[in-house]
Amino acid sequence: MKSRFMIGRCLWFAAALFLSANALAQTPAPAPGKVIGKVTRVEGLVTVSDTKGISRVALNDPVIDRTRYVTSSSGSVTLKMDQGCDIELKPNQALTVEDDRTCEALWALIGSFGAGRAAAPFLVGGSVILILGGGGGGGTPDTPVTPPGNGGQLPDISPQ
Amino acid sequence: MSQAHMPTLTMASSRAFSLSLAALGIAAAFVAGRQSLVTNLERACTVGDTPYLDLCPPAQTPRQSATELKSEIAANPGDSRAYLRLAFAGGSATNAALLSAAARLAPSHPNVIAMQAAQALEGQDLPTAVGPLVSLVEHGYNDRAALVLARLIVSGRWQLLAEHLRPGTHWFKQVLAQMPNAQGSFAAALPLVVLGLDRGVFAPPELMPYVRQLKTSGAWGDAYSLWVALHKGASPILFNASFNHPFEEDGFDWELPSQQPIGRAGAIVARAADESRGSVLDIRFTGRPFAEPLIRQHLFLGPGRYRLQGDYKTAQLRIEQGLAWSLRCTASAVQAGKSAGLGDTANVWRPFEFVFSVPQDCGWVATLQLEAFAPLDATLGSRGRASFSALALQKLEH
Repeated sequence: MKSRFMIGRCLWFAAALFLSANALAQTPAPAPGKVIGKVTRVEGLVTVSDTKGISRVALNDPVIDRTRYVTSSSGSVTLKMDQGCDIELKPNQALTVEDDRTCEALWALIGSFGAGRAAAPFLVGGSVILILGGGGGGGTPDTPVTPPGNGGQLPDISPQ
Repeated sequence: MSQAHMPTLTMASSRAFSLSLAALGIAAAFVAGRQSLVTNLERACTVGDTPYLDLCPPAQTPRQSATELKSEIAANPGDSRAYLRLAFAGGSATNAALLSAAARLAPSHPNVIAMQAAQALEGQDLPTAVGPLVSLVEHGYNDRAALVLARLIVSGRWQLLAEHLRPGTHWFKQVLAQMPNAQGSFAAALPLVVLGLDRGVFAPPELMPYVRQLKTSGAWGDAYSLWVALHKGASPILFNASFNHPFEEDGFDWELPSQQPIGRAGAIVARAADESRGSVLDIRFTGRPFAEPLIRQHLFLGPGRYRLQGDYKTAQLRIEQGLAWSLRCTASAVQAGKSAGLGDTANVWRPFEFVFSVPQDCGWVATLQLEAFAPLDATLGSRGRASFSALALQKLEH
């Protein structure tokens, strides 16, 4: 009696599984585009867009025909194209990759955006001194003190 | 009365005498103690019983204060405070051994850490400096350390900070707060911010205000990249197209740029529930002049042709030429396209379609916005109601 009940339950489960699989098979999946390369290096934020959406680029992602890569002001990416060349996008650049274009044509199509107002200059000059700690040289060991002499002064780290 | 005061005076005299005796005793003990400290120091230096500490005066004449500090150290070789004072007393070049000793005794002491950072920075050893600086900021001892780290980021050396970005740490948020003081944009910190996001240092809502900041500064590419990263790395090209979610106006969602107080508004724009469609965009015109655009969204679109589709319905809409969707480029503020006028539908849902082209020189983003087809209609004001639902935007292949 118990085993017959179990068999019945198994049959119901199998039927449900079959129907679900059938339904899934009938759901139209978006046709993936043609793979024409691979992302071999990515630094910072880089996005790629297709006809409906935009996503963040990750290492080893496939490069799909007619997608557009855009780098942020600190992002860069290298696309290894199946036709045998590497396309490198530097910060603030964009490119729509197309299978029917040669590597030379793709390189020529790389567009650059202005940095806008994002990249403010780094204005630390040699005369700017920053002292670690808030007190004077005579502070107690329990309160931050200013080391005398050159101690605590930050050297110029501006990219000059 | 005077008799009554006699015992009090006697007691006072006795107390003063006792105090004087105590003071004399302390003074005597201090003199004796100081002598013993000097003796101990001399003994220590002679015998070398504290070989790991460079306590003994170098041949050159040390300052008196240094001598006294060394006496204290001799009396108590574990006195990290004395080491620190001594370290600060001389020129930095001679402090390495003292600092090393202090670091062994009190490695977490903020002044030890500050000295370590300062010495590393003096020697242009930035990788070594970053650890102590991060430690100072993490434990809230030094805002200026945060500023130094912010300057490192602005100068492009953000990689030095990457290894210190760990879940549960808070220092990076304080460094971000110092970015304006470091004469730098938040954009310079973007690689670290994303790293922090990936490592769980940040929750996405914490970073949304920075998307707005980047947008305001015109750093559209950075703003949009961060927006995508904050949405699990993917976003449709038209966000919240069906108006199902509350608007995230800091980001690249729908914006209501011209909202006025309800009593004076010419148009009241909001999400609303519809019996058959769920959430819809609902616009009520009050008869007063209304500001434009009614609603907009900044789109991160590359050059090419696109199609906006959706449904709309209007009821008793008294706008002569109807409403229209338009697309404007941010680079040039030029209108790249405009839909046909959407007039009255007698409260029946109807589909609409707007095909437009984004030109090559459109810039980082284009703005899709809803407005009156004829600008004069906005100036004159209108009455009635309009709703939009189930929008979709798609790039066309050709």
